[in-house]
Order: sequence, then structure tokens, then C-alpha cells
Amino acid sequence: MALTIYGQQLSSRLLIGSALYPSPDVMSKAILASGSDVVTLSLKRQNPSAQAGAEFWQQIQRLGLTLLPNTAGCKNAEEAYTLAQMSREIFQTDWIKLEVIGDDYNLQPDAIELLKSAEQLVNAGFKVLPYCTDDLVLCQRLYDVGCEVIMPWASPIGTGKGLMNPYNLETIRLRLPEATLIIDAGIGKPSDACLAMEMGFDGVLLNSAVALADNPIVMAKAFAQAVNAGAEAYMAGIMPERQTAQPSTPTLDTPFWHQTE
Amino acid sequence: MLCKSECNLSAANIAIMGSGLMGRLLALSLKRLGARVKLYDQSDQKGRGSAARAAAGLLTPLSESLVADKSIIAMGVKSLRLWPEILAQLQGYTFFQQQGSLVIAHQQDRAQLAHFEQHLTRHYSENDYQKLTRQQLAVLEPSLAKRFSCALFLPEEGQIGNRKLMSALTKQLIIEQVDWQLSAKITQVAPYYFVVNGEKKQADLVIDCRGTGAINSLEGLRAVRGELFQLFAPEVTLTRPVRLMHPRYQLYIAPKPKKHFVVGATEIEAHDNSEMTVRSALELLSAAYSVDSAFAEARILEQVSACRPALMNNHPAIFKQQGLIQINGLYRHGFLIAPVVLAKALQAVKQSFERVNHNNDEFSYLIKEVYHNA
Repeated sequence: MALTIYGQQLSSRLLIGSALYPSPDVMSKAILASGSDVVTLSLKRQNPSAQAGAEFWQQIQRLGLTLLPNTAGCKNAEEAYTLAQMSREIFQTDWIKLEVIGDDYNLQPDAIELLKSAEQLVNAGFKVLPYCTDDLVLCQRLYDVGCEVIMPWASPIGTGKGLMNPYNLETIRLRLPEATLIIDAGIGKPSDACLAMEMGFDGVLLNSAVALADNPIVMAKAFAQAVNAGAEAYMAGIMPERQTAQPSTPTLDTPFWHQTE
Repeated sequence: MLCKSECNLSAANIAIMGSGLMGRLLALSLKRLGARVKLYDQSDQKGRGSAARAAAGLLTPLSESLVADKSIIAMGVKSLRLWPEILAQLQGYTFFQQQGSLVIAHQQDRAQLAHFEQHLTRHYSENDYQKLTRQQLAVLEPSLAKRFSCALFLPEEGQIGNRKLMSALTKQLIIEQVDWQLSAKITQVAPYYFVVNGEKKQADLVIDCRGTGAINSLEGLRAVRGELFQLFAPEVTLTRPVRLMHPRYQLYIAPKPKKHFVVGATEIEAHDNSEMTVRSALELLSAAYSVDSAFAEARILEQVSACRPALMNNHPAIFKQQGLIQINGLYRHGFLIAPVVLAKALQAVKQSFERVNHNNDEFSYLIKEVYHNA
């Protein structure tokens, strides 16, 4: 059941964010309850050059998980590059979750800047996990420039709308069998996460769906189970849908069974 | 102030570190109980650098309930009843009103309002809030009804003039001749002693109310940056606190006397007192403008950024050991819950001198006994 990202083996296929929780304590407990090995964190607004977010970051670092710094809030390749360099220095990791936002309202990635930025960062030795839309060609291009992991959205960040365009997502899975594909953003319910895993995605990254739940700790556990259920279902091989009913037990002992049809 | 006269602290030398909101309230209360109080602060009488200056004075516990848990809400509700008693004991004027507050969202963000309503339905009684139509909203705040077709009204909520209260407390401390040392650099706080401006001083009890100033002496304490604007907006007619729900930030507008408004506040996990960022300014002001376009001609009187002290569970706490009481973690809820925290702090002080423990009453979870292994 292990997931391997850039050579690192992870026991959980759920990756989790560290924003929007009611308190750092609830955040820590929810992250632990999720069973995730990877936790994302943002630093753009926290005056990173002065390390002003250190008190909060230490709380996340104490969890002992793999940190995945992100470039949330960046709007072009230059900003993302500077922030990635800073995060590599602060957190001693070359992993970067690349977010380059083109639209402020629904936080839709800017595909053109994203691709440019991904290439720059890969060339600078980063292990890039780009957050992108569910566009097959964009995913393909990101893979071509050296991103081993591609993270298309299910729907815009924080909407909780679930898998808005399953056809696109299935196509990406089918056409990029070698890439590690993680659904990032838009997940609302555990069943959304389960569905993504049943489609054969390698993992799910989410934040709001847990952090904004009435009880984030219990919700984190629910997501862990859903992701696991979906992954096991995919590996077990889901039976194909049929048009007609097929009884699993014989109906021979039912009197006049053949006349009811 | 809130402690009845049964306890007599006349023999006690009490040193209070920090004259923010809690330090001031405690100093006055303990002085009135007969203690020999000395109050120390690194800043001045205006409380520059104190989180209390960078606040809006919202007394809106239910509006906070999406992000604050039930114990904070309970303290907030109780404090709303206690504030008038405290204010009646001050000679200076302080603005206080309890005319309810409004929660609104733009059409495209209605899901946020629905989420909040679902939360209220689940956890609170139907008497605690009302869903308003545009017509009902127009009765309360006509300018809002132009843009918003519905709102949630929380009738019990109110607000206090935070800066007016700080000034009134300054005046009262002077009238009552509380020994108040300003520009005092506190470098160590410990049971029965502290170091101020390089000099070690003794006390029967040291009370640490330094907020973020205590970060190095209290484990798990952190600073959370908040930014807000003070505006003068003669064309704006809002009369009660308004909160705008948005997927990424919450904005509030707190009307103050004489057409002054506080518009806030960001919430950033950073120990950073530097000036407001352009991004925050854009967010806050465009959100305020989107609520009421009459803000367009408002004058920006001040941009404020400050750090609020928070513990890892975002709850306040009173850590009590022999010779030292540390009160901290009031976070963004200082004015909301200060009366309850004050009452519990006074109880903790009383216990320190009487050596009796009666700690099973309301809000007793605030007081945490600290034991050190010998």
C-alpha cells in the first residue's frame, strides 16, 4: 500500500495541509489522526526572510513528518522561485509544492507561469509537486519537464465540490500511467477522496475538508479510512458495471421463478 | 474589582509585569483589595505595543464560534454581563453597547453563511440568532440592505471602546495612585522575584501579564500577527458590528463613536510587528468597500499591526505556582473574555495567600497549577 514520491516511501496515501485549523493543537491532533506522512505548509505571508513564522512552523516540525513547503500566494515564476529557495533554506528540503495562481478569486493555477516555474525549479534541483488544473496536456507537459509527481485539482481550492470532471481525471490517469498522480484541492467529503482513489490516483492532498469540519480530528480519521478504502478497492480490481441484474444466489428454489421475468 | 471584600491582601507586596489590558485591570483590583501593588511595563501609559491597542473591542462571542470553541464562547457570554459592572467603577468614559451584531456574505459566498448558520443551528438555541430578510435587515442597517439580501443577526452581542477603556484605566490608575513604572525593561520573571532594568527585585507574588513579551518564559506561547485599519467615515451609517464571511478571510467592521470605524483583521501565524502589508491593506479595504461603498471617501487614520499572544490551543490560561502567577494566551479574545479571566486571576491570587483550594466552580479550567519537581 506504500506510495513512493521522489524515491521516498510513504505509508499513507493521504497528504494533509496545515492551514485553517481552529488552533495549532487541533491541527497537530488532526494531522496525526489523518495518518499522513506528509504535511504541507505555506510561508509566503509570514515574512519568511525574517523567519517570523518560526513559532508556528516548529509546532508542525515537532510532528516529525515530511514537510512539503508550498508557494501559495505566488503569482508568477519569479516569486515562486524566490520563495522556493527560501523554503529550501529554512526547512532543509528540496521538495516544493508549486502553486502559481492566475486567478485570485478561485485560486486557479496560471498554466503558463506554472510550467515555466516548474522547469526552472527542476533545473535548480528541486523536487517539484505542481498543483494544476485537470488539463491533460498541461499535466503531460509538467511531466515532460521533470515533475515526477503531478497534482491536478478535483475542483477549485476550498470549494469542497469534489470530482468536478471525472472524465478529465480518468483520462489523465489513463494517459500518464508512469506519473505519480495526486488529487490536490476541491475534495469535500471522504467519499470524494475514495472515488479518486478508486479511479487509480496515487494519493489525495487536502486541507479545508478536514480543517473546516466541525470536528477536524474525527474528520481526519474518516479521510484516512476513505483513502485507504479507495486504494484497496482499486488494487483489488473493481468489477465492471452491468446493465442487467445478475443474482449472486440461484433462484431455482423460488416457485415459478422463470415466470416472473 | 470583581473580588468581594472577604479577602484582605493588605500585607501583600504584589508586582505585576505588563500593563496591557489584564495588567491594568488586575493592578486596580488588587490595589482596591488593599495589596501594595507595583505595575511595570516596557512601554508608556498609552500602551503602545500592547495587543489591546490593536483591537476592535468586539464583544461578539457567537460570531467567533466557528473558530473558537465552546469554552471561549461561554466566557464571552459571561463577560458581556460583567463589563458594565467594571465600567461603572471607572471615572473615565468608555463606549459600550449591546445592540447585536450582523453576519453577512456576498451572493457568491453564500455557502460560507450557510456553513455558519448550520453551525449555529447545531450548537446553539434558536433564540441566540435570527435569520433576516432584506426587509428586516433594512430596519436595522439600511445601507446593508442595498447590497445584501439576507443576514444573520446575533441580538445579544455588543462592543466596547478598547482604546477608550485603556485611557480610562490609565486615568483610574493615576487617581488611585497605583505605583506604575514605565520604560521598565523586564528581563527575568520568577517565583518571588523579577529583574527590571538590570535590578533584581523581590515580591510576595509576581504576576506576569506580559503577553507576547513572555514568549521566552512560557512554553508553547506564540505570537499571531493581526492587522487592522482605523478609519474616519462620515458617510457610513452602520451602527453595530458587521462581519463579512468570505472563503479566505473574515472581515469585521466595528463602528465607534463619532463616525470612526475599525476594519480588521488579518490573522497571520507570524511573530512580526512590522507595518501592514499591501496585500492585507488591499484585502481589508476592498472588503470594507464591498460591504458599503460609502467607505470610498473614508480617511485612513491609522494602520495598525500587532501580535496577539496565543497558546497552542488558542485558549487563555492562568499558570499558578507559589510566588508566581502567569496569565497569558488571551489571543484575539482579550476584550471578549477579560472580565472572566480577571475574576479567575483574582481567585488565583487569593488562593496564593490563603493557601486554600476551592477550584471547582465555573471556568475553573482556566487555572492550571504548576508543580516543580524538587
